[in-house]
Amino acid sequence: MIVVCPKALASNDSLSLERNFLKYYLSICKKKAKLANEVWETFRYKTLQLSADKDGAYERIAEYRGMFEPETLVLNAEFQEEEPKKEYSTEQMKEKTKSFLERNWADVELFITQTPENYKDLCKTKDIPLMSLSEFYLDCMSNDKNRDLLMRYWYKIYEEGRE
Amino acid sequence: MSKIFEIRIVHKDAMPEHVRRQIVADAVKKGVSFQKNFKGFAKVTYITNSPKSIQSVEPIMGTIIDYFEANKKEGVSIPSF
Repeated sequence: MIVVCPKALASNDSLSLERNFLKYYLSICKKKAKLANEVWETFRYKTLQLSADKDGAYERIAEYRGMFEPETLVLNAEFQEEEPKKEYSTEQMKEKTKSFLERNWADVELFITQTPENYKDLCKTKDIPLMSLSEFYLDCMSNDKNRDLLMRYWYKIYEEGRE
Repeated sequence: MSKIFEIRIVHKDAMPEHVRRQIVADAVKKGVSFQKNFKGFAKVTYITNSPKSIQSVEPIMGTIIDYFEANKKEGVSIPSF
């Protein structure tokens, strides 16, 4: 499985191309990237809090849910829906992501993180492959299987530029 | 009515044969300009409950990135971690 850290999921950095490629990759490969429950809950909670259009926010969350998945499915008993109750601090999300990696180390094929310094020791001990979004993008270029995916992605961007 | 739980943008090649045929037939019905921009992707909508169930499968124009761009809503903000 592919695991992502909070910053790889959503951030205001300049990596929209690389982040979009990850979404494209997950969609084409029909895969979902996993994250700690607390990261997903915070993402849901904050998206709903920050958005004026609540229906639109629910739809966007559903779109993200199609690409990213928390470790366990937590539904409320009454409506059988995911219900974010609170947000977690950056430190808590980091610790929970570490715990998730530690418990699932043998199933992790790749951990994508924008803050490798937080996880370097753990990944070294457990031998978990770690990459940033940019490294993942570059790695796909050198991988025969994924190069075709990247070519299609580039062609799409090229086509857009021509329009 | 149940809320939407999950939306997946999936390429038709990754779907079973009968769904693939349905997607192409739906894309044809939508007219020439849709067909021109149809890249084989479909939007699969799942509704909330456990277990979740598929509500609809519909072809979309362009790829997943185009879908995200086209569906950007003004009142929706994604947090930054």
